Amino acid sequence: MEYFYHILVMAGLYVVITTSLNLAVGFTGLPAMGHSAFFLVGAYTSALLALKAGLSPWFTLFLSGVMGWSVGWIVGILTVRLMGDFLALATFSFAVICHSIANNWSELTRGPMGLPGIPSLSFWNIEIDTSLRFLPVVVGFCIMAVVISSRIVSSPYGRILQGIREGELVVFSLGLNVLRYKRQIFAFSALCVAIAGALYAHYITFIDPSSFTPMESFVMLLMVVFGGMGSLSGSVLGAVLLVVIPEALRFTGIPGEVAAPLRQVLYGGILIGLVLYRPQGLLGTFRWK
Amino acid sequence: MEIGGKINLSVQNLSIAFDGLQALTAISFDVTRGSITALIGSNGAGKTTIFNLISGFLKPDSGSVIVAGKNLMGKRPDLIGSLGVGRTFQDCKVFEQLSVIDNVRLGIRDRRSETFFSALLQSRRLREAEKFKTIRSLELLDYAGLADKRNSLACDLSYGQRKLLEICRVRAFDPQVYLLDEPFSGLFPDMATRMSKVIKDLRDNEKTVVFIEHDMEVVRGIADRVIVLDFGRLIADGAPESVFNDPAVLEAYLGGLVNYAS
Repeated sequence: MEYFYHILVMAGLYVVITTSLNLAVGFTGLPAMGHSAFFLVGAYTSALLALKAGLSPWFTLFLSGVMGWSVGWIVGILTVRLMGDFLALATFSFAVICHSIANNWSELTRGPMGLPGIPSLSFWNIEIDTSLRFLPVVVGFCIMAVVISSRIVSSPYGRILQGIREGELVVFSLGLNVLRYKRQIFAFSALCVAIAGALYAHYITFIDPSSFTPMESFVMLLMVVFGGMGSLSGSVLGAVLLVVIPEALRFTGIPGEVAAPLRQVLYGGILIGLVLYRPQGLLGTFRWK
Repeated sequence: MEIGGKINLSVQNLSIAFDGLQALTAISFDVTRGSITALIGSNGAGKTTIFNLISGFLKPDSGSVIVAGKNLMGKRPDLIGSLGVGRTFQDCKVFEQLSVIDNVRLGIRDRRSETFFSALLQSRRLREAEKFKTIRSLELLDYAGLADKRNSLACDLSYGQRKLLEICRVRAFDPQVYLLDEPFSGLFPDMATRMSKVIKDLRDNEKTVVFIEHDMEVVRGIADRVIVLDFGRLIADGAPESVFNDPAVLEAYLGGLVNYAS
């Protein structure tokens, strides 16, 4: 059962990531390919502050959000002027940079040895140290992410974001500073992903750079595309399915050393299938004309 | 040349070169409030470039643009928009994946309800602003004859309907100066009549309209004034009758057309 709850927790963490990533990618049209960096920043910020400064994990969770937002804002300033593929490359290289910093700044991050013994979250006197106990926390954050995202999407602010996706020159000509909106939503999605990273750190209680490879960004993006860009329910579905489906491989009796690469094959297959048969994603509404 | 009223848009000495190609050379003209000005010239004469310079999408090498007493040069396109310059685009840019009414609502500015935090709070102010936007958008769509399409996606509209939608959107934005890039191109006569009505009504509401057009009959029909460009130079400026009889214009523009035809 513990394993089952673990899958649900992981699915929940990815729901937080995909809904907020979808705001940037699906609604605003920013092909952000470096969000594993914010996952990393959140996890390391929270873990290091809890380990070295002895702060309460709840407080470091908050601080990791602040950190994610700040880093996202700075990356946003540097990248949102770039169009399309160039933005994708710039954000991806940011993920590569962050990953190598975590790998090589041994004094701070202990490099590939990772950070063990990260304190778990606790509630009153209850340590949230099992998957079952962690589940309500994750569900809480999921609900927050979905509620906030759907409020943004249904507001005039969200309409402006979608306008930017459809034609940013026009939005400029309507008296709106497109770059500011792009920076804001990029930083907000970075904040959410960083919090998901911090939750992950306090849940697993051990992090090392291998959990935050730049390739992780593609998994996040694939979940968004799979569920449907510009569809929040799609993001929830995409995250849950793409966490659960690879896990199902374990029960097929395929040996571990084959199953791990098979996961990549699965992701690739899903992507090809999407492009061919359902480019708007499972629940996407995008109409090709 | 002035046709009554106050000068609202003043273009002074505008020049720009692209990689050594002199696209515009010292263009100057003033446009008064409540008038319709047509900008004509052969392809590549620099008409759209003037629009891009006025609306801030391009920076000129020299010269300035003044709207209602404020110099626009060096300002970002959104600030120029806020100062009262609205435009449409030659290739008819609508927000394809948004509904028709959302296209128009996006034109109306209510800055306090358009921030990130007001989106989170969903305050009463935001709801009231939305109500206002909806009512106003429906008015504009109704006026343009698009009200029954309000819930379709903009990508499902015909070309002519998109042109009208673009006008609705810029009207929702409610600028002082309208820059319309080929509003009549590709329109059926019925749509073109609707478009003329919209443009004439703008003039009657004391707005300043500058539009780019190729069809001389249309220009004769609605323009108070015609400015002719040829290879980046202003070669004629005046009332339609006088401009169309100007030998330089006949030579450079209308004469050129006759030659192509023969």
